[in-house]
Amino acid sequence: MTQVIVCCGAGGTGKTTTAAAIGVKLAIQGQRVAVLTIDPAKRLADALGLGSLDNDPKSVSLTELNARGTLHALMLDRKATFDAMVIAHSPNPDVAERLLANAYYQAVSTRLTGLHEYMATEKLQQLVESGLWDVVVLDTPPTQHAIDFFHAPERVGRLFEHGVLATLMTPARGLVGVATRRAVGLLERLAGESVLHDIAEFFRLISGLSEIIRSRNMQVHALLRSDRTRFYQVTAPALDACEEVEGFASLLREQGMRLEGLLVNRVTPVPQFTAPLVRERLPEAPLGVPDEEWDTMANALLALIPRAEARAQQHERAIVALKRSAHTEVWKLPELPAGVRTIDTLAGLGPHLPPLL
Amino acid sequence: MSGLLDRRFVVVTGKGGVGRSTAAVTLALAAGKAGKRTCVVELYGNRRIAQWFGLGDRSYKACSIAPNVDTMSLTAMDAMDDFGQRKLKLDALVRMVLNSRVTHAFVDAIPGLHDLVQLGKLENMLLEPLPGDAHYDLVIVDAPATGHGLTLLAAPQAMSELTKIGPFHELASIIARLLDDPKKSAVVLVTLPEELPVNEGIELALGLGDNQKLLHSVIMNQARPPSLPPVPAWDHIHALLSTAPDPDLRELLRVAEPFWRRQLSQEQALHRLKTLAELLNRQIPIAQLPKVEHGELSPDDLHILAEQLLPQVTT
Repeated sequence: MTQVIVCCGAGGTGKTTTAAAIGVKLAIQGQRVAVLTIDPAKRLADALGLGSLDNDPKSVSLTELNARGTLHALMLDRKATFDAMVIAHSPNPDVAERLLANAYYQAVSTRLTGLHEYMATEKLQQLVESGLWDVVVLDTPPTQHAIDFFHAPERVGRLFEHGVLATLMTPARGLVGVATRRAVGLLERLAGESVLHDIAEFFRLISGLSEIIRSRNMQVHALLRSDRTRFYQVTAPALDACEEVEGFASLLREQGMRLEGLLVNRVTPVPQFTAPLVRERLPEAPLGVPDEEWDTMANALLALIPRAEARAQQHERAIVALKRSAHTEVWKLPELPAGVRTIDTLAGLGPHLPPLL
Repeated sequence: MSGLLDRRFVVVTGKGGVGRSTAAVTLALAAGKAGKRTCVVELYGNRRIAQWFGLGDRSYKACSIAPNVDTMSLTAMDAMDDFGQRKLKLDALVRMVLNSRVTHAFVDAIPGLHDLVQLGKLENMLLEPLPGDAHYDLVIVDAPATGHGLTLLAAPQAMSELTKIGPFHELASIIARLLDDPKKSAVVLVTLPEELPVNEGIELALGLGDNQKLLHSVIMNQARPPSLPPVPAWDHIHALLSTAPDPDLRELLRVAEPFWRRQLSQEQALHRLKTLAELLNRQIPIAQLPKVEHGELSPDDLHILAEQLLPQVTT
């Protein structure tokens, strides 16, 4: 049975990199891993040694790391995923073809808010069903709030399953209330008849898939709530993240989902000196650097120590508050070192990550 | 960045987490200080700016946060009701239909309609205020993070592709006219002094399509003054400390490394942003907002930031 690890969190917290680091760690441990990212982060593809990422899993070379497992990465393409779903589940090729050509389908598949999230869960399901993976690591879309990831698919799912619109747009279905007739009349006035025609056709066609869409929605709903799925929330070490973290943690619990912990990203460790570092303890000027210049550099370096200490304390305080807000385990991830990101730097995060499985 | 405050409609875009709301409200406060009557608007009922200024619950109505500066938190449903009342001249009874479950389901299902009616409300505020409404010189929008703000700007186009006639189509045309005029409208891109956000910012700018001409300037949020001397010096420091026998000196290097990384990232980010001007073949000024080192921003912090932004947007 495929296990699922979901990385959630607000934008800018480093979710995508963290999801990739989790994938690397699991692959080293011997798992067959697929990391599904949502963000078109060129840099992640570079770090994984891949030119680009697309909707199909690409193999990542781990030979340098003596990994016992395998790692694949892919990036969600929502339209391609929706198209694949339509083609796979339409009752016949004609329905699929007409759906794909429908103007409203085109608008929905490229532009509907929330569809990204919905298709992320659909793609997750496709990966789980393939049976090719021991673990699928899911990075979530860049929404303002982590919670949107759950609300959006449900809203879109409802729309496709049985939405008010489906009945509303097929007048042949007989009894329609006065209120509904009024609403339809108004909408015709607002948007024009042809749009309503396109929408009606879309819903008529997609109703052929509605059984399967409903059962898939139920499956993914159950999968996300089963003990095969673990959630990690990625956050910055900042006090103002507490509200978001707390809200999300309680939402997960209400939904019966398993929040395994907080991954606090880019934490500054407390500087550890055996004795106070004063100017005299610094070495002589290196060859080719004039004494005066070296003096300036040395002072600039020493001036960083109190700043790093203050920063580390700030982070410590924030972590205590975050832990209290989320009522869960906390793991601290250090800031990655300077320079080009490689698979090695991602593997370097491994010891800081939770045991995962 | 001269001329930015002479526009009527400024959309502040950027990826989630770069400080779009900070930049939007700071720009609004700077505009207020320059004597422009300004309203800074959050969409989809977001209320970060309102919270910073300690405003109570939902405020579809504009609330003052500084001399000349109001803020407002718009929702799609409020904007839809407003649209029904003003543009369609619907009476209260018909507006009830507009607010019905069926209509909501419809509005939810039409891609871009939420964006469109909210933009429509802003267009009204600017260009067609009713008697008794506040008159604004400038409306600044904090674009939603979804789709990196691109979907908001693409909404009129999406609607004209879907509907060929009717009030929604007309609304799309009205907004397209506003957005088509770089003398009236502008897009400001917010980014951080780091490689990834800058690359994403550049992708966003290039993804603006027809709206690319609106990109006026970039605000680099959380900029820091350099704390270490430049490249050759760092190489010396690194060579010397990484091989030092004293563990405290190696620890000093470890402490210094993140500072160096951030400094280097910022330099490279500025450099990369300058290539945007080359790509678009025109000047794209870059303003910097300094990093506020303590946690949550207070209104005082925002006013200080606005004082620092003001000379950058007027010269």
